[in-house]
Amino acid sequence: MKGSGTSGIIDKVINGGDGRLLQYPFFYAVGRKAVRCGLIKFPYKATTMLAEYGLGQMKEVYGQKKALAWSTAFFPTELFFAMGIVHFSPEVAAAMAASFDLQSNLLNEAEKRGWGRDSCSFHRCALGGSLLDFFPRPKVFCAATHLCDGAVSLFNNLSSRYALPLLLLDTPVKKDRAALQYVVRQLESIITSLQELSGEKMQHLKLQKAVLYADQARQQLANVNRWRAHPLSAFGARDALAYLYLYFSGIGGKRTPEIYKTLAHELKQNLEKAATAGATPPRYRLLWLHLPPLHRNNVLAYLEQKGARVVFEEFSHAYWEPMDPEKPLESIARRMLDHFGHGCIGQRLQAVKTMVEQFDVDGVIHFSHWGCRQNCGSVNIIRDFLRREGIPLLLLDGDCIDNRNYSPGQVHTRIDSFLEMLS
Amino acid sequence: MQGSSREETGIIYWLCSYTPVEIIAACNLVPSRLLFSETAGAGADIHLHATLCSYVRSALASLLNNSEREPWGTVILNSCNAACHLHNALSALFPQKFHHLLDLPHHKSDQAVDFWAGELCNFHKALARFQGIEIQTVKLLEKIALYREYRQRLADLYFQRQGDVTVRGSELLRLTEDFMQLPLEHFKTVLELVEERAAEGKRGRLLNGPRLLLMGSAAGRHLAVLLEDLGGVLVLDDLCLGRRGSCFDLEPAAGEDPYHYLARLYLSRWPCARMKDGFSNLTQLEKLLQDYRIDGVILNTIKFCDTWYYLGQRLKEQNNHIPVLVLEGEYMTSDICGQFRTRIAAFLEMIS
Repeated sequence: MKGSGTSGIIDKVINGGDGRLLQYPFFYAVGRKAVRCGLIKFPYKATTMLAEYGLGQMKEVYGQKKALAWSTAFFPTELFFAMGIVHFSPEVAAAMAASFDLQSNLLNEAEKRGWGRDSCSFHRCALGGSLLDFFPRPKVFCAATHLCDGAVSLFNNLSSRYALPLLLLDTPVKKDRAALQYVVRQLESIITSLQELSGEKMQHLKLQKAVLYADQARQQLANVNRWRAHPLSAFGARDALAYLYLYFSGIGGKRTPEIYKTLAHELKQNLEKAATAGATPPRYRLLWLHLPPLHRNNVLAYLEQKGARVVFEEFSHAYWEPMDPEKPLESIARRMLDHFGHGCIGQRLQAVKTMVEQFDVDGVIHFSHWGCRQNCGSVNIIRDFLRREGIPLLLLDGDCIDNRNYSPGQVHTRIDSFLEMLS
Repeated sequence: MQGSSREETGIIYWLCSYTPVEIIAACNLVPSRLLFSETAGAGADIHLHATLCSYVRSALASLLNNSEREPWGTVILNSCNAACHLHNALSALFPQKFHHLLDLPHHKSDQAVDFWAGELCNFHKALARFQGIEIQTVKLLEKIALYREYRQRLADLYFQRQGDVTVRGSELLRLTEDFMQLPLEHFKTVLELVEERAAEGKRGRLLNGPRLLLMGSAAGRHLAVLLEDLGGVLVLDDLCLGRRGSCFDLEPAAGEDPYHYLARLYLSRWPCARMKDGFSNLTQLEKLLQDYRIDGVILNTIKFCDTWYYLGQRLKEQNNHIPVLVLEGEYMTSDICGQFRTRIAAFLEMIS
């Protein structure tokens, strides 16, 4: 939602009262109405749909009329959609808080209570939100172990603190038959527990539908990415940021494929217009690894100002194989195991290579988010790999949420040097 | 890098105390835990990011500096992100060596036991193939029995500490380190010596001072020595280099498949913070504190180890009865920093 012409008004509304307004369902209802009536405008119709959808979900989260589950970023959301359980991802909420410049209060609260700054700021922010009761209290915590130790530890901590159950989906790093079966069996147990905790029944047909939507989302996201790969596509990482919400919280929902489909259609139309208007491609095409900083910064804007566009980012990669609604749990399990960042580094390297080729990039930027062991840990291997492939790489250290160490001058200097090298 | 004079044909280095050492031993290899190297850090930072914990970086440095001494390979568990990255780095740096990544579950459900049993079986096959030998179930059963015996004897030494203490805790930690590094026939000699001394010690000088529990992941002997030098009595530890990683047992069921047994054994032991039960187990800690009449708890976390960090925070909040000191720092070396000394001294003064 950032970047719209009305962002100043939104800021004033949200930040007045330290963002407390965000805790009331009516805020989202009003926001949704404003989006629907066109009072808040977005550059794409799909983004408008996304905003409406997101606000609707947040209204449900704070409405607390249904059972609420907190889920880590990589937990399979298909289960929630199938069971009608409202879910809330504190990591996504941390990202949204940062985009509205609300993260400082939350980080401060965690730090005030003795939480140090070496841990991931997504989780510190989530913790602060929880300690302040800024985020709604769930009935259950749902965590998946893949990719991130911090999220599991955070949920384990919160589960112990609030004496609430933690449902843990253990995701092996291997992708063989045994691993798949192990995940499937756990999903069955988790469904049973969720039914008991939420009082909602899992209907097989709804689960099949959720998987169908997840598969349609994959197809439509692949379509979006196909148009984004076009040399004249003006849809870069800055525009794509908002769609992270769908990527992490919307897989399995009915609206998700519709939004991606609308976006693909708009991108196609825009490309036709661009070709007719004689648009020129950016001077440098770049791939972004990991997430970009989500707090207010001008890194992506500065790149564009210098003639370089981040044409694609890792967390828009449609990584999972086709899903079969006839085998819903197996399909979900496979999607979990297919994640490019999971398992041995070979899987991520292969994904990077695929993205480099598909988007025909001139260089890669790896953003090493402070506190992310998973992402930072493999940076040296990625560097060596890209060197062998002859792809220039810029390693940018920073923090996605915490802007206290953000130093625009330093970042600009490094970007300038990198672009000079590309030329 | 200890234990060079060995009958076996090589060493398999391991990092996480959930590693099924019985399988390695059954393949005529010496399982040896990667511990601190005096040259740690040298060279490792080029390959592993600085925000990965210093234990993992030290382990890599250790191998980088000793890579040509004797035949070796590694088995790394997906215990944490850092361990997985270590496996990636080792595979890239030493492609000709044997490297195996074992998928350790995060909980101990039936599904997890079945899955882990399959993993262990596959690991045995891979290691036997690497060694060019046939799998001998009898040999595996022998090793299981042998390790059970030694673990039981170590557990007895710890159990005795519920009463008065005459053997220093740092000596026990030295013993558990040896258990993790030496071939068992060498370890046997060391163990017997300590057992003798413990038996004599019952008539010997009692150690006086605040009774302490040292918790954490890979905190080492050097920290234990410091606690003792400052006047504390290290009665018990909950360390993967100590009691947690070496004192666990389980009765095999009649006719139970050895891999299934090993899976149950390892998953049912006192959990690491990384496991789902790691946090809920904090409630059981209370009983341990009473049984061993503990006056204070010291938790040592390695910088950038998320799992133990989050557990440490919870421990601080939860434990209202016994004073807790949380020390965060680099993987311990003999060169312990002054800050630790000051903080421990103040803590001991407070609880004395």
